[in-house]
Amino acid sequence: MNRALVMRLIVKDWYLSRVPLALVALAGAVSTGLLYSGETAGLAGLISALIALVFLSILIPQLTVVNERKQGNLAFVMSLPISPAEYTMSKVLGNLSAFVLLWAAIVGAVLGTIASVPGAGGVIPLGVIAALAPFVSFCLLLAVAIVTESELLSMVTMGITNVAYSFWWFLFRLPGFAEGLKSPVPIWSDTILTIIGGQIAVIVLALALTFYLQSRKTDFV
Amino acid sequence: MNEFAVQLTGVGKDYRFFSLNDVRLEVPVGQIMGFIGPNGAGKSTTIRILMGLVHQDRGEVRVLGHSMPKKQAAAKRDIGFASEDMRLYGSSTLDWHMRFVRSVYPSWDESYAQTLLKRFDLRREQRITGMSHGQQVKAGLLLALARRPRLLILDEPTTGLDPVARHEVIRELTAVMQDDHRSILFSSHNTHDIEQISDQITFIDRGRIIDCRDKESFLDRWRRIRVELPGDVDVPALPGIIGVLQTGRLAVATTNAFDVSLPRAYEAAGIRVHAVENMTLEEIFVTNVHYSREGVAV
Repeated sequence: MNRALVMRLIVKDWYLSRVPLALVALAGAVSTGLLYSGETAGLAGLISALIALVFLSILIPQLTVVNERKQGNLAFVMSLPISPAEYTMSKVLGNLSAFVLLWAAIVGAVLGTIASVPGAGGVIPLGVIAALAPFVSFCLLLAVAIVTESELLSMVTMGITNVAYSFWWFLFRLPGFAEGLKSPVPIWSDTILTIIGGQIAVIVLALALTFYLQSRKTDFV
Repeated sequence: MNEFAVQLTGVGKDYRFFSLNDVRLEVPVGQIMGFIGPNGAGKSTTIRILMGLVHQDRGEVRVLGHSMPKKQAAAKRDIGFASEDMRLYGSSTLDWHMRFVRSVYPSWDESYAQTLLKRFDLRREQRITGMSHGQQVKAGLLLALARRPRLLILDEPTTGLDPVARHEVIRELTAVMQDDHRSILFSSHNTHDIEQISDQITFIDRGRIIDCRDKESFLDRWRRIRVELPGDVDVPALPGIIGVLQTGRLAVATTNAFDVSLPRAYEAAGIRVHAVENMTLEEIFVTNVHYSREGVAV
């Protein structure tokens, strides 16, 4: 593994995505600021933070994988002295690191703010699940974009994951989910932990499948 | 040291509507191989296989002594690649690309890059999106050439260029070959460009190599012989004549194995030889494709 070159490719992707990433960071900062501006503004802050995370989950794979293929840059990248495995590594690590950095900052700020409000601790498990949802979407989209290199399939994946957010209210019907929301402290029920475990499993599976399927691929341009 | 920069043996690749079959291609070190074929003949697929971008289904591929696609990372350290459909990052400047490629290749020659900037009339501060197609092609070639690769693989690099830009590119490639250790594989359907610079020429059509030899052999062996028949008879079949186009008493015989004995044989049969004409590489290519599609052994 040519670590130096993989690192250069990661830095290249960060650099080429720097403006949109900075805008997401700004949106995250504004959202967090709104949380401190009263109840109505606070709700707007929560929603805009979630929108910023959803946008982030789409933005990075779109910019660094789908567009690279669509705009004909992939042949330039693959003409460099790298193997397909190194290319995959650079895409997964570059995307993951950029996403996690901003995701952790926004989620940390939002959950930290909620935790600092007396009596609001019961919302934190829901917040964790809500925060992991864009992470799951991001990993699925990244996997599809890298493996298929198809703009159409990436858009279909985006559509499916975005529609999936509409089914959130089903979660509230699950036993052990809604009961703890009004608790002053976080309650990590079996239902909550199962959902979080499922989300983490999908993340791990999507990333593992990306490496596996890429290792079997024979056409890269 | 390996005597071939590129070696393909029995290489094949199957797609739903196209197959590359039994490709055998050798580019000796220090030579320029012109790779000519019509659109969809398999040039780009062959070149992608050489670069490890597409994995062959069968056959062996060695580039600069490295087995492909397994050792592609090692091989690509010494390959400069440019293709007609390869694009640089539009939002970034040529300077950013130069610094990026320099950071990857220790062999990057900055003074040569400066020379190429002037020669190609490019500005390093300019964004790629602001460049014309010709400038983008030249920018891609600059990035490939300034790393001083042992092997240049160029897939239709002159397509869409104006005559001046094409001349600049061809002149630069000729200059590269002043170093005996460098080799070029140059694909194009523009036979004029290939004829100017190539030492060896390979024709490909419908996924198969149909002819491969050095340029002088092509030009020496292929001739058109214009004859006038003594009466309403057919042109006699002679060895080396691969096709005859006859209109009344006038006929044009095409040969790919010209020898001075051929016109003499016609004259001995009472046929008047009006002219023996050289053929351009384009005429040779078109004739070659035509006859190979008709199943004539050329």
